Amino acid sequence: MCGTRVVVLLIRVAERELRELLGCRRYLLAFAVQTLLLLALLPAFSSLLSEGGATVPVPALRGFIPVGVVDMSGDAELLLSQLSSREELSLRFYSAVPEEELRRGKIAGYLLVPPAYRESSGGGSVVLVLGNSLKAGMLQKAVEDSVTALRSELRGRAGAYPQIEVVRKFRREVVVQVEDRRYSSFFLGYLIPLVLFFPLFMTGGAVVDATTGEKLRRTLEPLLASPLSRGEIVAGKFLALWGFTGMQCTIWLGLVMLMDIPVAEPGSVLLVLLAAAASLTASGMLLGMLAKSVKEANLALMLLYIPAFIGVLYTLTAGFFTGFSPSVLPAAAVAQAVSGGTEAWKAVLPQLGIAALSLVTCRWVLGREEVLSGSRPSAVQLLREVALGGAEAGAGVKLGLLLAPFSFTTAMLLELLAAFTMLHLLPRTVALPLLVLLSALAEEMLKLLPVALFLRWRRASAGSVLACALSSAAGFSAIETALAIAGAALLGGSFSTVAAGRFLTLSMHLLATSVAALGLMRGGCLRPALISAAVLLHSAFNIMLLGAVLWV
Amino acid sequence: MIVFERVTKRFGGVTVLQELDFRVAEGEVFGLLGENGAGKTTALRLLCGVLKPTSGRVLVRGLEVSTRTREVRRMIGYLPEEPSMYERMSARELLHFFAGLYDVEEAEERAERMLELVGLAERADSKISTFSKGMRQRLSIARALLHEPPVLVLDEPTSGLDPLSARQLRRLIAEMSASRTVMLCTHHLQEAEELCHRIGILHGGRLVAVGTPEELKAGLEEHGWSSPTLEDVFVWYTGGGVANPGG
Repeated sequence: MCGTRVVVLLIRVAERELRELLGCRRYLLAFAVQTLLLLALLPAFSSLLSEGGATVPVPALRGFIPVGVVDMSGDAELLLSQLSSREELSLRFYSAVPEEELRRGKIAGYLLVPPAYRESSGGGSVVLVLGNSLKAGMLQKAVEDSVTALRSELRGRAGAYPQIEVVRKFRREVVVQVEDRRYSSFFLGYLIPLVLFFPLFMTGGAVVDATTGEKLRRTLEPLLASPLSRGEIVAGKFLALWGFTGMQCTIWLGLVMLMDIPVAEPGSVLLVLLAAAASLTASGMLLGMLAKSVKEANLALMLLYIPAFIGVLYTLTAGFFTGFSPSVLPAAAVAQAVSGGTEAWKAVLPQLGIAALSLVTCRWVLGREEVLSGSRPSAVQLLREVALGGAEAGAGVKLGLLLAPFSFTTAMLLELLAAFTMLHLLPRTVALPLLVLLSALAEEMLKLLPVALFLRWRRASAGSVLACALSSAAGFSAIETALAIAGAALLGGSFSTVAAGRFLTLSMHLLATSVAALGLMRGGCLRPALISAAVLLHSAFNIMLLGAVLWV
Repeated sequence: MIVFERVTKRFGGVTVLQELDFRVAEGEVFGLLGENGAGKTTALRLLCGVLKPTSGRVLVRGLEVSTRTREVRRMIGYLPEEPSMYERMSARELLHFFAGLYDVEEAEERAERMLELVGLAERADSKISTFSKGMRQRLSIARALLHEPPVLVLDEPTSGLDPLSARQLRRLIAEMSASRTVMLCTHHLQEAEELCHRIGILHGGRLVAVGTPEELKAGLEEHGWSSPTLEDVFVWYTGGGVANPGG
């Protein structure tokens, strides 16, 4: 069938969906109310935050506020020790004024102790230069508190009585000034990006109606019996729902700009929002297709939207307060694009990838026959299909890999639960060796799960069972490795150490699971003996690793 | 025209249809009878390409449904068991939408003709949500006939209708079947006898009997029944061969 014809069909399906959406008064009403709220709220926030001096309570996190110190006097020991004693401050010493670090948001401000400052002979003035983030307000308060504490401490001493004065210098009081309007960094860097994400979370009802609703109303069947392919049905629905969300995003962005709020790169903002809308809509459609009832679909969508929204909040918060703002995250990319200077494609590509993957899965789900009866395939049924279909060794490998995330997550949860309980109930000398043994047992049993299912569902050769065991162990180890690499990247660990450790762990997993799988295949006394040998091997490895870590 | 060639269909571990093997000739009206869960709807869905057989093949005019799905679907007008339609659309809008999917030429005129044929011309612009079940069923027929398909597949077309609406619909189906091959499944034996040239009886996913109503009844007479009805035939094949109550 020619491409033009497919496009025409897609447009017809999308047009019908869109008409259905626009014909529904409750969607339009909800959209109108939300837009009116936006219109009312934004100017209020804009006015409230225009001075740029908003301060929020300081969380008692160690080193939460990075501050630069330039000690040009060499006689500020008491002041610096007072500042060091404050947990929330992280002091970074510089020999020259760290303007560049302040500009890049690496520090919240810096304290300049001039050469004339002498604690031993009457004190003097210090200069506190503050950046434009909310941390600046917190830093100012921390420094002032330290100075006050120092004053009272020195007041009790004979002789020295320094006069310490803090000079505040905001680098920039406001970020942008448009005619008579001034906008704080918080307003532009946090609130506006957050507001722009709202429309993405407003179309859940429409997604459920177009997927679960249509499935339950049984209006899908005439479509499935028409010349449309399943892919065209999914794509047509997606286009309509995405178009609807995209339209809302565009209107909101347009309204924000109409209010004269300066958005540096509206094109990039819209691009990232549309990509995020695509991934959220497609994932929502997939959940809607899988749901058995509207109630279940709403719950599933809530479980998708809440973490996604929290993700947006966390990204914006981390970006604003710590400067950690990787452009690959849509919220970070939008925040950067609002202020100017972003590489939007970094955020766009992964989102489009998620959307494509969700749509392909959605098409596959629609191809499942259970969908017509408002049902869905169970996880066990799908696993059975994998195990029973296709080449024997391939099925074993697929089963092992498919169950690896489940085995890993369950093992981690069990180990955490055991650690939490045993360390509270038992003395450490007893709890620790027991924990090592228990975690090895849990991991080995869970890695054996696909092997046990494979043996139960299929009369398989020893080679295929071994392939299943190895893929299960490799999958388990791959997840561990991915987490270790992410940890090293975030916490600044050494990649070569991680790689060496992971290689050893992978070897152990492969060996132990093979031994245990061999035990599972053999009956009689060999079964418990080989499985126990695998657990003991795993435990010995863990003890060795723990010893090595402690020794290092 | 329609060929079911050793078709088996399994859902999970359950076999819904087993080795289904029969042919429907051009212009024939073939009825599938069977108790609930016998596999009638599944057989029709396989014919329309909504489902795929686990083994065997279904052919329409020589084209295999699972490989030439799009072409086969263009040849079929399908009336599903539930006359579910887009509630917010009007009857006319619905027909225009489906006309677009089937590439119907002169779609507007064709839609008007169909609406007149099923007696819904006066309600053409009313929302489907305001329609009774009988009106929905007639609109479904109009939708199924819209692209002038040579094959009509009807899944319990008169189910849930009042006697008058059911009679009107049967008359309509009889008119339509004059120039088409029709495959229908129904629970109404009188309807089957009235409309179908041949009947197949499904029991537990197997085709246990095929023939004209007269042939099926004659077959029962050979078992010692006197003047059996189609209901007797149905009970004989699906109830495990009970003794002739009138014998």
